[in-house]
Amino acid sequence: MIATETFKPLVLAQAKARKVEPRLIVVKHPIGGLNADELRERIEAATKGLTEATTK
Amino acid sequence: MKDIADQEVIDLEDMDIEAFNAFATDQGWSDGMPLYVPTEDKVARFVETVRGDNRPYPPVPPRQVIPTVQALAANAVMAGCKPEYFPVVTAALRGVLDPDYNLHGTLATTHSCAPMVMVSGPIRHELKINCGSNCFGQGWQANATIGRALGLMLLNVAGAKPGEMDRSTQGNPAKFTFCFGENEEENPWTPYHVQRGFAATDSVVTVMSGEGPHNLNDHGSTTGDGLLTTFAGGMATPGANTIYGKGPMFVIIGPEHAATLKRDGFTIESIRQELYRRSRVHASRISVENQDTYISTGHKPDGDWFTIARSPDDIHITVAGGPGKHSAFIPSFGGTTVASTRIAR
Repeated sequence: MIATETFKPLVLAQAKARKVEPRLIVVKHPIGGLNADELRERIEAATKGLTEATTK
Repeated sequence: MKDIADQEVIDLEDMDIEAFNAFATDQGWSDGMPLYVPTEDKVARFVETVRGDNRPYPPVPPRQVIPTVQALAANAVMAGCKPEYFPVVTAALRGVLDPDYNLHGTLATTHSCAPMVMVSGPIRHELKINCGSNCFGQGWQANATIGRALGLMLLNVAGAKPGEMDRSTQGNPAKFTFCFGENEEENPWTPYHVQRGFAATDSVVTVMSGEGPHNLNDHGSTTGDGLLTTFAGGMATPGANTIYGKGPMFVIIGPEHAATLKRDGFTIESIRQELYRRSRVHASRISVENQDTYISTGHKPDGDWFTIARSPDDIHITVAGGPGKHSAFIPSFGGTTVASTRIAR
């Protein structure tokens, strides 16, 4: 699951309510309202996190 | 040892109301205003008022806990309700637990939505629920505390803690309380709960996850057609959630506006049709990027115009308020429904 750092507490609180432990990739907040260059940094961070998570 | 939040009865040492409030605030139980102390005796008196309603409650999202009636009653006591208000509060809770209401989404969203609670039928007068002047405002214990009790249940049972599970960007004063009665006596058409298939003699609670009321001021129009032009102009806002999320909305017509519309032959159905047709937002009022957002979420424009509703059926109409030339538009969260529940007595 990919979440922004700002909404990580919401994800964890909802996960706790459902008694699950999600594997999280956390990127900087926000995502909405970014231009293409700004969004690229988020995509790269998410891709890096996903690659690391799936190659362990 | 159970966490304090999981305990059915919490034994506390004798404490005055200030000490209790300090304790409750520390526990995260408060909406920021003072609370009444939910003693066992008070809770028992509230529980007695809903003995005729034995239907179980489903798990309450986002926390997914199944509430006891005692836990619900404790929140109504803390809110300052009288015992006789409690069946209204529990009916409102059943409404927000309708799966189509999307309680999880409406509580966790960044949107400002709060549960709008509208009461219809004879119980309005029995409980002195304000349906007239200042019906959305302060001054009536029933309006103030019924809405507040539901809010405390959503905090303490559902787990909608601001900044954690409740992620509203700015919130909304209606999150403290948003409860009013229909003004059926000055409604020249059919009361809302009767529109929904209930008997006129039923007492019904209707809930919708809505923004606060947007005022629709029209002191100048002398015809129903003129009023609808003003209403539609006020509703055609690119900033309300409904234009993104698609969902229901209320137009709460003030009695004087309602009388003019009735005089000129408008019905609830024709008002719906006209408002749907007229309350469109021209593309020139929406940024190109935001138009792309609308379209990518399935909202195709009609030529250069974006509708604010999926159909006239999304526009719910009733009458409330007192003398004056004002009405109100209440857009919803979007991905939600309007749920009406008969009050079990």
